[in-house]
Amino acid sequence: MVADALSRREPAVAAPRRRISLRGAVRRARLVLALSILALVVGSALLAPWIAPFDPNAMDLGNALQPPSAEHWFGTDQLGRDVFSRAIVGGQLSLLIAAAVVALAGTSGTLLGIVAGYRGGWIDGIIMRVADIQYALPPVILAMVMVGAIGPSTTNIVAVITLANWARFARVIRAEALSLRHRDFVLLARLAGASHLRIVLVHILPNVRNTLLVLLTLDLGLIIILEATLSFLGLGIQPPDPSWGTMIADGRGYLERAWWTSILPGCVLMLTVLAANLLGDSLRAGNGSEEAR
Amino acid sequence: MTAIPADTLADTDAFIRISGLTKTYHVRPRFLARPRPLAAVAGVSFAVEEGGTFGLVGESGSGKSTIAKMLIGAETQSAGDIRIADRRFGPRLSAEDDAWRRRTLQPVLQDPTSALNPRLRVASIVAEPMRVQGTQPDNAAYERRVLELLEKVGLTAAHANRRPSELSGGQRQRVAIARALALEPRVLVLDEPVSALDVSIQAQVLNLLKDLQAELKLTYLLISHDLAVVAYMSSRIGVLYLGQFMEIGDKADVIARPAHPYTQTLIAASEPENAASLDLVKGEIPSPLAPPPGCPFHPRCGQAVARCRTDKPLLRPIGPNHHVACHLAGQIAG
Repeated sequence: MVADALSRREPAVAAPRRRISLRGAVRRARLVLALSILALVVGSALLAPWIAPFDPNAMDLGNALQPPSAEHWFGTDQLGRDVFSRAIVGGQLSLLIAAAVVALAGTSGTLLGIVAGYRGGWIDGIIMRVADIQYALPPVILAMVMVGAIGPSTTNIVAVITLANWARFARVIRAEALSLRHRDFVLLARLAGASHLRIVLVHILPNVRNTLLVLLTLDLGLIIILEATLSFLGLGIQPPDPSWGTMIADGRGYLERAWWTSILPGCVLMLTVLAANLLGDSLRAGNGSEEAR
Repeated sequence: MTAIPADTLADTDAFIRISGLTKTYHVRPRFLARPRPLAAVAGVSFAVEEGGTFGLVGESGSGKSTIAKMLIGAETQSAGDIRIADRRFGPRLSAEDDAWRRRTLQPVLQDPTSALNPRLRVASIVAEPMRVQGTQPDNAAYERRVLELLEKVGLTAAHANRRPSELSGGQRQRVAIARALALEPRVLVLDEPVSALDVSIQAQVLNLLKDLQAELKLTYLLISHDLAVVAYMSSRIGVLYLGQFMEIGDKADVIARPAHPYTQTLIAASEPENAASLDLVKGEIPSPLAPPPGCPFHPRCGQAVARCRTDKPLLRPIGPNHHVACHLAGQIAG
C-alpha cells in the first residue's frame, strides 16, 4: 500500500521539474534562433560587397519584374535590379543606422536617466519634463519637420531617430537609479566619503547594466522599424541607395504583378525585428532568474 | 522640551554624549494639505561610556533609527547636541570633523542584503571605505587588510571572491561588520544588526560582536526592537516611546526592576510563556503626527490615572543612574 502510494505520488514531484526543463529548452532554442537570424543578417550586411551577387544599383530594364529564380533569388524590381542584392546592401545601411542610434540614444538616455534618478530635485524635474515633451511628439512628424528643415541624410536620420528614442532609456534607467539611490549600500558608500562619480560608476551603473542590455536589444527592433518607416515615406535614405523601407515603398505599385519586390524585403525586415525582440525577451527572462537566485 | 535631566553618567566617562536631541520632519498628512510637524525624536539625552554598550529599545516608529541616522551623519538634528569625544556635531560641520566621524563611527545596518552591492565581490565591499579614504599604500596591502578583517569576523579568504548572493544571511552580516571595522572605528552604531537573521544565527552574530568589542575596545550603540537582544548586549538601556525616553538606566535596574509600565509590558511580552498573548499592550503606537496629550503612553497603559491624560511626566531619578518618565513610578509594583 505504502509503496503504491509512493509510486503514485512520484509523477507529481517529477512533473514540474520536467516542465521547467522543457521551458528552459524552449528558451534556449529561442535564444539560438534569435542569435542565428541576427548573425545571418548582420553577417551578410557586413560582407555585402563580397556576397551580393549583383550590383544593387545596376539597372537592366529588359529584365524588369522577374519572379524569384535560381539567378535572382528574390526576383528583380521594376528597373531590373536584383532584389536580393538590394536587400543585403539595404540591410547594411539600416543596421548601421540602428547601431548608431542605439549607441547614441542608449548613452545619452542612460546618462540623463542616471543624473535624473540619482540627483533628483529640479534637475530630475527638467529632464523628465523634456522627456515627456519628447513622448508627446510623434517621431514621424518630428522627422518630417527636421528633414524638411535640414534635408535628408544619413546623419540627420540618425539624429532624428536618436531624438525620438532617448527618452525611453532615460525613463527606465531613472526609475532604476531612483530605487538604487535608496539602497543601503549607496548610503554606506556616501558615509564612507565616496564621491558621486564613484557611487555612480561602482554602485549604480553595474546594477542597471542588465536592464540596459534588455532595453537596447528591444529598442533595436523599434529603431529598425522607425528607420524603415521614414525611408518608406521618403524622409530617410534617398534613392537610388537601397534600404528596406524604400524597397517596400518602391514595390508598392507592382504588388499585384510582382509581390516579391515589396514582400521579400518586408520579410527580411520582419525577421530581423523579430530576432531582436526574441533576443531581448531571452535576456529579460535570464535576468529574472538571476534576480530570483 | 526643557528640564530634561541629563544622563547622570559622570562627564569623564562619557564617550558619546547626546542631549536634547530632536528631529522634526514636516509631512503632509494628505495630498496638498498643510505640512505638519512630526517629531520623530523629541528631546532625547543619554551618554555612552567608552567601551560600553548602550541599548536603545522601542517599537517601530519610536525614533530609534532616526537617532542612529543623526549619529552617523545621514540626517541632521533639528535641535540638540551630539558630542563624541568632546567634538560637537551639529548641522554645519568642518570637513575635518566630518572625516574624523567617518573614521571613528561606523554603522552596521539591519538588512545586509541591501547594505552589500550585489555586483561587487566581498573583497571590494570590505575594501571600499579604505579605498575611498586611501588608507593603504598599494593593492597588496589592501588585500592583506581585507583578509585580516574577514578573519576577524570569522570568514576566510575563500569568501573574498564571492558575491553577496553566494553567501548566507549570517555571512553577509559578517561581511557588513568586517567592512564597518575597516577604518578601525572606535564606535559601531548597530541598527537592528540581527533582526533580519534567523534566530539560530542571531546568537552567533551577537557573540561575534561581543568578542570584537572586547578585542578592539569598541563602544556600541545598539538599536533593537527585541528586548532580549538589548538585554544580552547592553550595559545601559534606554526605552524609547514616540521619540522620548520612558525609562533609562543600567541594564540590571531596567531589566530586573522596570519602573515604567511600558518597560514592564515589553519585558512581559518577551518572556516565552507570554509570547502567545497579544493583549499585553492595547492597540498600536499612536501616530507621532497627533501625539496624545499628557503621557504619550497613557492610551495604552493599564495603570493610567486621570493625571496621565493631562500632565506629561518628565524623566525623574528613582535610583542611581535610573530615570523614569512616569507619574506612578515607585508606587506601582515593578
